[in-house]
Amino acid sequence: VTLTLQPMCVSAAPDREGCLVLLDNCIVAVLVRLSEWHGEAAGSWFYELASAPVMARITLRFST
Amino acid sequence: MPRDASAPDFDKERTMTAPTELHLEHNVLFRKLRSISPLSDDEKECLSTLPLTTKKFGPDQDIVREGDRPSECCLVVEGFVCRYKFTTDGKRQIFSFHIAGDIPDLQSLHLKVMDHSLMTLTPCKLAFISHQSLTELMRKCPRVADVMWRDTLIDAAIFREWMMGIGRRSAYTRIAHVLCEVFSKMRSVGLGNGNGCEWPVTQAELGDALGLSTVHVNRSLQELRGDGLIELRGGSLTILNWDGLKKAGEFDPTYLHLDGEAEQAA
Repeated sequence: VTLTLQPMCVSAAPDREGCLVLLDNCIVAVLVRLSEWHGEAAGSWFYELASAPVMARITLRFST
Repeated sequence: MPRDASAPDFDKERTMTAPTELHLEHNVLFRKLRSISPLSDDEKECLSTLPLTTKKFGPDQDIVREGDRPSECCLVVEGFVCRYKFTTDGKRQIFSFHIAGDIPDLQSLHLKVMDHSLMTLTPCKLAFISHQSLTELMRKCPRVADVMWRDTLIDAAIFREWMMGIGRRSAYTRIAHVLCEVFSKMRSVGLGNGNGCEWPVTQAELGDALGLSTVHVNRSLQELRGDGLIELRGGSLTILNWDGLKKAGEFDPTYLHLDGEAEQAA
């Protein structure tokens, strides 16, 4: 099983920085880094989109 | 801030005041029922005799829980209350927000076991009415029973709008819609000012109500602010452009059936 993080620009204004999460070359999630608009949460990562099996196991926001 | 000329002129329609002999709690209930249907002096008199027990609650306190078998209903006198339920893995769904004048567990009069819970969102003053007293009131004054029945039907109409929002509307539209709804309800019972009202609901609570993450709530609120529609500050909502907010929320107030007198006359 290979997990790949592919940096990507995202259109989720005001957030722009993101990455694709690939599991064995299949997209399983899109992560977005939260901008300063999000106060205390700024800089943490957020699951913008995730496949159903991933959604069932994750915490939506995390710091690293 | 000058009042938006397009804001609804509820004041003009709601200038009728309750008789001074009504206590605060009875007046709050009277104002609510009067906002959805006309009431005669006899019916007012009937309401004024309803025995109530007032209690103060802090924020985030359960009032009644899923599985309980309450023997009384709760009238919100001051503050914000919500109905909610947890999924088995601990995610909360808020079903509705309630303000002064609402009796959010009125259905416990006929549905004996609570199928959801009721909690405060802010410090609240609540007045409890025993089922027995409510039943006696409704027998003595069938017109009041009719208005309470009407209120439960409006409650169901609100659920249909929320279902529409959660199922089919964007985060931006859902939030604009709920802001329009709460503002309209507050104004109809004489709360709030010309173009705004109290808004103590946190982003996390709003997310739990609308099926959104706090990230999406925050982004959408920023967008509504950026579009010049609202301002949220210090627990208050100011509506800068009422027509714009209604359009953003696809808000048509028909489902709130607030103009009781017009409906009766039609």
